[in-house]
Formats: sequence, C-alpha cells, structure tokens
Amino acid sequence: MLIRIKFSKLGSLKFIGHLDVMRYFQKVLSRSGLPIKYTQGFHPHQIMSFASPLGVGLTSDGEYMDFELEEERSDEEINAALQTALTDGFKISKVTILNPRIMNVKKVSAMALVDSADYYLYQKNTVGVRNEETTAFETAFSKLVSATELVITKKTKTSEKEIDIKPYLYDYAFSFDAFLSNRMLDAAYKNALNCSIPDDEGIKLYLHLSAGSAMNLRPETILEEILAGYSSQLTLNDFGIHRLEMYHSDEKGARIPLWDIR
Amino acid sequence: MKNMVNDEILMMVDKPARYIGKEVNSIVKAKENVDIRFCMCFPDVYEVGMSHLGIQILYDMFNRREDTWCERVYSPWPDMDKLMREKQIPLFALESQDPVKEFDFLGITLQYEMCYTNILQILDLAGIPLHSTDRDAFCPIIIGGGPCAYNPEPIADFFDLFYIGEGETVYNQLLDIYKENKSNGGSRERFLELAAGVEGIYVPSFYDVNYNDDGTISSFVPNRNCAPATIKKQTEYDLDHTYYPEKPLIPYIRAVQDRVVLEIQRGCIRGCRFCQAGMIYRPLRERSIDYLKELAKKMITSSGYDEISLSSLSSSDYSCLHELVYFLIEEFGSKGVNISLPSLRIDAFALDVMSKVQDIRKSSLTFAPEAGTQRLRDAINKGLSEESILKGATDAFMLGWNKVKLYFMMGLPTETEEDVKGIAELSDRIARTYYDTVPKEKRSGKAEITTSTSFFVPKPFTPFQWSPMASKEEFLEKQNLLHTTIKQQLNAKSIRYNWHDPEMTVIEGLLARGDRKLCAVVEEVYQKGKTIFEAWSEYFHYDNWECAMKTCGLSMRFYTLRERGKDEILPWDYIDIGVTKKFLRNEYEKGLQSIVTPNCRQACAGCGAADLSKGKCPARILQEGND
Repeated sequence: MLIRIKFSKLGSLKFIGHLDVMRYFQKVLSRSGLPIKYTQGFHPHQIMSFASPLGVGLTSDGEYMDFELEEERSDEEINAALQTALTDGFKISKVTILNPRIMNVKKVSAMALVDSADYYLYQKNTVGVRNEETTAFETAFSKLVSATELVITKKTKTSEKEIDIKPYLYDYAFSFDAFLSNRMLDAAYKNALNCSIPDDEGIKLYLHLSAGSAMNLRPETILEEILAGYSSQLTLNDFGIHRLEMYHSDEKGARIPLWDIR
Repeated sequence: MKNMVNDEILMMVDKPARYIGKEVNSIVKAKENVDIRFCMCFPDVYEVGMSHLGIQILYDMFNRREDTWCERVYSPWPDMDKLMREKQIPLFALESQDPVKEFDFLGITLQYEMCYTNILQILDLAGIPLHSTDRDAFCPIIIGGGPCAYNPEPIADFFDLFYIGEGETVYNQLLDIYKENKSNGGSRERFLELAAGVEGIYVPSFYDVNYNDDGTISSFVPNRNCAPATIKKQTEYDLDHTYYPEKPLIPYIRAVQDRVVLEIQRGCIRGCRFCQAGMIYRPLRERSIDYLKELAKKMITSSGYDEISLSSLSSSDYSCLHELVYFLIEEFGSKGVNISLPSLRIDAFALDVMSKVQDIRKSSLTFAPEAGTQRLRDAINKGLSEESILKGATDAFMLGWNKVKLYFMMGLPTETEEDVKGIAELSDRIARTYYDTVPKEKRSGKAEITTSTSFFVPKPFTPFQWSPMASKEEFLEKQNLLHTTIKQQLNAKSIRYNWHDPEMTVIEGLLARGDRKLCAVVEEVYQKGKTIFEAWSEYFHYDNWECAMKTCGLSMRFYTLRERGKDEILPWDYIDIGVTKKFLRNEYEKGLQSIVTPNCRQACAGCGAADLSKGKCPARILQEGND
C-alpha cells in the first residue's frame, strides 16, 4: 500500500537538513508501529522518498513524503499511528492513500511529480507597521515583474550561465487573499492551503514558482534580485521563507496539489 | 522556547542543529516549579557527546526527581565559539536555552584527558571563573565525574567537587543536601563541607599537597575535619534495579553512536595489566538477561532506531550471551533492526552469529592481541594465545571471511625488538593461514589483514601505573621497525599497517598520571589562543604543551618517562577503588617477569574489589555452559 503524507516543518526545526529529516522520519515510521515495507538484503531499509528537499533555514507547511506498507490500513489509522510518534515542530496535515493503477498520471513518485511550489516570504522582527521600506520593496518587485525578462547569473561548479527566470515566476501577490484570488485554484485547494506563520505587518510576498527536477527556482534568488533592485539595507537574513504547497501540472496545465493526486 | 542564538548566527555555522535542542525524548520542565537546575556537560562536540551513555543515564535519573530539571550542554564548535565570544553570547543549556551560569550545578563528564582544555572553554564561555576559589554564591557548583575523575589532580583547581565512581548511588543524597542547605540560607562553602561528608565525593580545595625537592609528593592531607583521608569510589551493585534511559535522547543530526546501546554488564574478569577500566569498574556485575530483553524492546520501540548494540568491557564473558544475542536476532532481525556486535572472542558461536547479521564478504574479524609475542602477552596478562587466534581465523576463513583486523599496542613494559617484530610475524602467519586453508578456487580475493598499533599509556589504578612510558622518539623507532618488518614478510601484500602520530599520546601520558601542578599547564595551554578540541588531530598542537610546561617550569620527562618509586605517594592514592595498591604492585612485579594471573572465574586473585559484606564477589558466578 502506497501512502503519501503532507507535513509541516516549523520553528527551530528549519535548521535540520534534508538528510537528517529523512533519518528522523525513518524513526517516526519505526515508532509508529505501522507495518512498514522494507527492502531485502543484509541492510534492509524502509521504502520511503521525499518530494523535494527543503533548504536549511526554510520552514514549510507543504512537504511531502511517500512510504509503503506491507498491509492495508485506513487513512485515519495511519494518521493516528504517525501522530503518536511525531514530535513538536513536525505536523502531519494530510494522509493520502495512492493507487498507482488508477492514477491518471504517468509518473508516480512525489519527486517526479513536483512542477511548482508556493512560497511565502516575510520580513522578520518588524515593528508592526507598514512603512517606506515596504513600499520600496513592492515597487522594486513590481518593476522586476513588469520587465520583459529577468536575467540572473547561475553559477555551477565549473561555469557561469545566464538564465532568464521570468517565465518560471508564475504568480505573485502581496497578501494571502490576493494570492488566492489571483490564481485559478479549486476552492478545495484554497481551503487546504494554510500558513502556520502569523501574519504580522512588514514586507510580505507570496510567490508561485517553478520547482522540481526540471527547473527549480529558489525563492532566495528572487529575494536577492529585489533587494539589489532598490539597494536595500536589508539582507536575506532579515526574511523568513516558508513553503506553502507543492503542485503537479496535468496535461491541461491545471495545478494540482500533491495531496490530491491519487 | 526562543533560541539563545539568533537565526542569523545559526545560519552562519556548521550544523546549527547542534545548538537548538528539541530532540526526541528531551525533557522540558517549568523552571519555576523546580528547586534544582542541573546542567550536564560533555566537553566535546555535540555529535560525540550525544553518543555517551553515561549522560543519558544521569539525565534520566535527575529528571525523575520532581524537584530537579536536568538539561545538557556541549562544547560549541570553533566556528560558534568564535561568534559567541564576538557577540558576547553566554554559553547556554539546550532545553531551556538559558545561560549555564544560572544553574545550580554544572556536571562535566571526564572521559579522556585530551578534552581538558574544553572544560576551560565551557567555564569561560559560561562566564564562570576558572578557579573554584574565585567562585561566589552566584556560580553553579562545578562537579566532575567519569574515568578521568580517578586522577582529577591536573584539573583539580577548576572543580568544586568530583564524584568518584558510578553515578547511580549518591547523587540523590547530594542533591537533597544541596536543597536543604539552600533553603536554610547556607553558604556555598557550607554546602561543600556537607558534600565532603558524602561517600564518593571529593572536594579538592579541602586537601593540601606538598612536594619533595625531587618533585614527588611528600604529603596529601585534608585541611579540614569534614574531609575524609580516603575517598571511596561508588559502585552500583544492583544493575537490574537502577536507572537506565528507556527513552533515549535522539539527536536530529547523526551522532557518532547512532543506535540503541545496551550496557550488559560492568567490570571485567580478565585483569589485563594495562587496562584502567578493567580495574576501576571491578567487581564484574551483570544485568540479568530478562531485564536486558525487556529493556531492548522498550528502547527500540520508544526510539525507532534501526540498530542495537551491546556495550561492556568483555562481552564474550557475559554468562547469558548466547541466549541474549539469539534473542535479539530473532526479535529484531525481521523488523529491519540491525544487531551490531561488539568485539567477540572468535569461536563457533561468534562465527555463527556474525554470519547471520553481517555480510561476510564485507565485514571483518577483529582480534586484539595487543602484543606480538606470547611472552609479552603473558607480561600484560592478555590471555589470548596464538593458537586460539589461528584457530578462530581458520574457522572463519573456511566460512568465507577474508578480512581481519588486528589491534596492538607498542611501548608496553618489557617490550623488546623481538616483540615488535612479532606483530609483523603474527600478522603474516594469519595471512598464511588464509592461503593454506582456503583453496584457490574458493577464495574471494586476497586475504586483507589490517594491523593497527596504538601507543601504551600507563594509567592510574593499573598494575602498570608505576611503569615508565616510552618517549616520542622510541615510539617512532618502533613504528619504523614494524613497518620495515611487515614489508619483509612473505605475505606483505596482504597486510596493511595503520599507524598514528605519537605526539597526542605523549600529552595523554602527561595528564593521565599528572599532579596538581599541571593545572597551571592546562590553563596556560588554553589561555594561549583559547586552544580547544585538542582531542581532534586538526586542532592539536604539541608545541603548545611543550611551551606551557616550560613556562610553568615543569619537566615533561618527569611525568611521562619516569618510573614511579615503589613507595612513592601517587597523586591518586587518596582514592579507594576496592582493588588494593598491594595487589596492583604484585601484578606489576609479576608482569615484569611475564607471569600470568588467571581470570576471576578461574581463580580469585584477591584484588580487593568486592565488598564482601554484600556476599560473594559477583564475578564468581557460574557461566552458562562451557568456557
């Protein structure tokens, strides 16, 4: 039985890297008492995989992990068993039982499915008042977005490449409500989008960006460009970045959150 | 709980998760509701400290008290250490993120000598005066424990108290005294006086050391009535009804020991003459197999670890080992839990078990002969004959093994060139056995013998505590001789030799048998450039120590190369570990003549460890089957 869970990673746990998150969940699965499926051989390990690694320093309400069970269980049972084994800072928001045979997508693994993701960027430690900095930030961003292209220099280990990232910046807004209403999202999907970060005043930016193995546009990249655009005194360290959701694009281009792909 | 260190700084350092706490099974209490705040410290980096079983046991024990909250702190890595000094961030405990200085107790575990400068780092970063004499009522009580507490003299000036022996026995008594004294408005000094009355507690400032002109100790006496002349080490006799972490702390980042650890017994019956642990943890005490089975189940269930290991000084001597290991394999093998075996004596049982849990092609057999000739093995009382090594190797080779690891020490007392060469010759004979035993068609490649040598350091409370240590030059000579001899062997191509830099060993030797004068040296090394993480080769600088010894007007040779006099007062003589000095001296003299002493189960040698008022010595129980 193939299970996909959607989970949140909050607070100080943002300092735990992806490999350590994997090892943490291996133990969660073992503690849960569920009949987890293992590989064969001398060092059997659990069959589990993650949709997309989350960088150190980012929090999230939209992470996904797949794993397999030897026997069938209901989603309530699975959720209950996992909750007893989870610790503070990690929360499970959805449990989806997958059926590869009737799924109408060619690819099954979460990692292969990811095409885009929602991010919330926010200024930390604000006084609580909207001010000139906020206006300058929004103006700079609007300017970037209204240009025909947005070229950045991508550095790899061996070379530097210039890429236009504008086509990969799909949607944006300065408030959560605007972000939801701007996009062509199912009502159910909107309802399922929740953000654990309290909504303080200060600079806020919501982004829907290309993600996954084809083109992963990191929100930090956009943030750097904005701050450089108006020579801000602020740096990346002044901002928090929170991933909200991950989506798959179907053949018609509709965005489906990973929890709804069965 | 807000972090002491802000996000910006955490993003700048390596492995920020070292400093945030919130681990699975970590304990958070309301500080207003407790009377005593205890901070346990392992003075090395987080990943090393989190692997230490002792802190887990004490953490569990202290937190069971409703009036106490025990938290943890580890040495900040150099990158964080630098930032903390720059930004004036005080050292903080992980659970509450509160400054360590606010605690009632700071307990530091002393596992190896090379962490001594890290102790000063901890005190310094916490804002606590390094010298106990400079501390006031607003400072925590600094208490040290662990194996190095059996000679704490080189760091005595930095501690208010030492706890000698196993932590399960008198900590509760000590904390009760602390609480009562505090509520009576008693002073810090008053608490120390009361603590001195608790068996096993050593208050260094209550003793004066005087020296002869030649540097040896002329007297070591209490300077007040409440301090006993001898400190009796603590022994927990009932290991089935004491503290053990059924819900171990699980770090988010990978600790060195990333598995459930089951301590199956304490102490050892073998009596190897170089081994301190074998002497200070006497008498041997086992945990019952039923207790261990229950404990194993609880710990695997509460942790989700995928590996379990057995911990003891000589697991092959555990009387119910066969039953325990087969139980673990049956109970956990199918659940994806790996059984990590300790170094077992290589016999039929060991080979059977190893073939069940390990991939023979990838795993290796381990032997620790420690010495290259039977003559020297007899001198050090390591009862492992060449015959049994070759037989074990033969049986293993026939089952498909081809990798062997051999551990030796060099610089042992009475060692000659013959003994050093013997290491090469023994390694070669094992390789030869492989080629003689396994026909060509059945071999999965060459024999792979890995021979490793470390250097002998004489330790307190061993028969060899009087022995001179070899010099750095002698160590290097021996290594070269061995290296050359290995190259000359018939099967040289099947033998790989791993050797080490002797410089760190020399400093270990200096500190292991040091006296109080070395406190100044440790401090000098630390203060000059805030030297820390000396146990890590990339941070260790031998010259710092040489310089510091010179500055303090002390001689390295006096501590390392000198043979101690038979009637000399040794810096640790005030500690009573049960095993008598007379027994140790007798063993030393027998060792110099290569005379063997049988193990405790074969014959009682009258070492003095057992408290006979509690009945027969626990080491004398019968074994499961044949030896």
